[in-house]
Amino acid sequence: MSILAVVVLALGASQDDVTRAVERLGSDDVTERERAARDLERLGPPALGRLEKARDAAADPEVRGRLEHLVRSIRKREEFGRVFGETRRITLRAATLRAGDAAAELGMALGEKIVLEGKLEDAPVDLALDGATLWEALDRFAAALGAHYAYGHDGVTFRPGRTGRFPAHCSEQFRVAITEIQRLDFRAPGPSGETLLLTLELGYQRNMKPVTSSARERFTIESVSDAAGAPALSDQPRWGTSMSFQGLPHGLLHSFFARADAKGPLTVSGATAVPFAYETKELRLALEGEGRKVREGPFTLAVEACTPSAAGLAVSLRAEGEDDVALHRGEGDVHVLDAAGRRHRLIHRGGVGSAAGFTWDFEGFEGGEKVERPVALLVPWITKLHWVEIPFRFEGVEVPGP
Amino acid sequence: MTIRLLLVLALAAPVQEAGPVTLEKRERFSVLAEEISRATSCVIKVLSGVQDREVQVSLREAGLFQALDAICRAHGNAGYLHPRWADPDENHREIRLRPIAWVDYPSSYSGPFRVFAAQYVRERLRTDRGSRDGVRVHLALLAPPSLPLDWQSGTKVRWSFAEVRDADGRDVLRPPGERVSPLVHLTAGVETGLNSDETSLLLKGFDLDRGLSVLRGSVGLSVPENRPIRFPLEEGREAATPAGPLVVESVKPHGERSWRILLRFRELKEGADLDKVFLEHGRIEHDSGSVRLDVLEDQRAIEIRALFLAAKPGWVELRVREGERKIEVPFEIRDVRFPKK
Repeated sequence: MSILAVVVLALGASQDDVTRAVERLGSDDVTERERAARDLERLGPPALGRLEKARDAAADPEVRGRLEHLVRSIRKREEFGRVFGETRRITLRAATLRAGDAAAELGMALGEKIVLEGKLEDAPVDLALDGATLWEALDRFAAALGAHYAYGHDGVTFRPGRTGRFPAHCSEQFRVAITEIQRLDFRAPGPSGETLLLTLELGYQRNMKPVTSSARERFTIESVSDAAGAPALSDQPRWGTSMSFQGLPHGLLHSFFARADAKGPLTVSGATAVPFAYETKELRLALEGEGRKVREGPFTLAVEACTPSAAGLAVSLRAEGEDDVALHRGEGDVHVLDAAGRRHRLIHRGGVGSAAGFTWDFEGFEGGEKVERPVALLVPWITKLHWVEIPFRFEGVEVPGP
Repeated sequence: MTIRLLLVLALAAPVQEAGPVTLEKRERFSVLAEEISRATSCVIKVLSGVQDREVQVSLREAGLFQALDAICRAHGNAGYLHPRWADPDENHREIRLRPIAWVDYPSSYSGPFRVFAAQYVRERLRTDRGSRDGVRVHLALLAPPSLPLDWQSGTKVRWSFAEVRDADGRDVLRPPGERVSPLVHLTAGVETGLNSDETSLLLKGFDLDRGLSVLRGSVGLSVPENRPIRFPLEEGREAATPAGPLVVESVKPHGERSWRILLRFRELKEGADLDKVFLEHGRIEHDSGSVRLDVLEDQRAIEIRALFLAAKPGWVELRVREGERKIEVPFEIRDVRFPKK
């Protein structure tokens, strides 16, 4: 049993390594292709020039497509590092280690509470991580355990069992994956129909904040093709009148449809486009008189109503702006400042939005606090957003048969 | 497909307004609809476009929906379910007969109620968390308008299933406690646009073309019996309630077209639980007529938020719970098949 943590200062690769990995991108084995892509992506920005040359010289359009995807992914890494800061990366080697001990090491390195359910604690595990991001580390640990995991509100829970092939693409603080596939066969006295429903998940580190509540509309599916290369993307069937999405603590979902007669495995490519916050400031609005309204960039915020209530205080805050994303910029804990300079957290009671603006309602204080002489509202406001556009290309997506 | 009438009416208390219908005649469709309306005290409208031709019916002591289904089936081009499952002008206080092709959903009638199976969806789910195969059956309960089932009525609905078998007689009810469920649901939902409650049940897989041989269970309804107490919203005004005298403390604007109303008990009867004494929803001088009541933590006050009301409201109507009526609607639907078309 051994464990060794190493800091990897630099990753170098010879021309031959790159050439060999590019050749492996043309392998018939999807696992081999994925391993080659991972090896090339790990080379990072220093390898961009060589990868671009290889892309331009590639005779096989499939290989060219994979290289183009790699180039775009590496550029994204640079971009995310610039905007959100460097990603924490870990290096860890565990050979035939008890899973419970490996989880403790991994949790410490990632700054995450890791819980193993079932009898996973005592299972032996081999793990070799070289400069892995959080998501890469969790994926590799799950694969080594033969488990799946949930990135929850206050930790990561691994549960026994791992089925099928659900490809994932990790990019710094983010992870895009096909998370579930459903074949649905509908029957009613009149119509009948069958479809494939595929769901993508964009996972993000818990320190990141997406700035939208309708992110499921913000993925682009560029193409879906079947095993023969024929287009397989289809529209939502007419019988499916509505879709509901389960909320995830640190993930956004997007679903799309494929033809029921499409023969798997499928290849899916596209990109995410979700705004994330990277700069916030606290705005101060007076509860009465002058200063009830403030202008912040293209947005106007105003204390629309402030009424004494049985629970202490009822406040309505309204935001108006030209950009609808702005309507979600105010989510976060809102406080009331009293005359003595103390802060008291207001309880959020709901909100109403339209194209014209958004109103948040607050009433009462945390812990039933009574607040004497409230004077101002303190609102955390997101001032800078970055659109996280991660290209993805998933091959070998297996679909359930009829 | 057979439609079976359950003779066992297990109503703890009958829904008196929707009386039985006896019709044995050949008559114009609109006349028959009017006779059903009269017998059941239910507002039934025949919309324009429904051909008013003569149809033959033979009904003895039939319930509201059994009678309506009989005349619509005999007509062939009349029905009350909206063809797109969503009626933009839905009104739960009446039933509208429309010019649509009659669709015979497998049904069970019990007194004035109808339970029917609307559709199947075979689900084959694959996730990295596990797999699940099954068939979801969607069902609806239709109730007479006199017994509202919507969320404002306070009526609680509980579906239970006793026996579900496929065409070979195999039990297809699933054991409770399965962990894998989809993150995304595509709903081929059933929204009748009528006074109804809908549910769906995931079963073990079976041959969809051959369907189910039996789907048996019951729907339990807990209907609050309530008495409205209406009083003017004048500050200082007092109203008598079973929990004690209630005083209008304040009626204040809160933002545009929004009002906050605070009602406080001058004296609260010992042991009174306001959440049980009052129904959650009442009415206020307001177009849509509904308000939500919040009982404050100290149990001595009620706060009401009224939205979209330009002028100061003049009155409020609270509903006092005086009892609860239990109704059991048994259903047994036979030969539930939706072959592929």
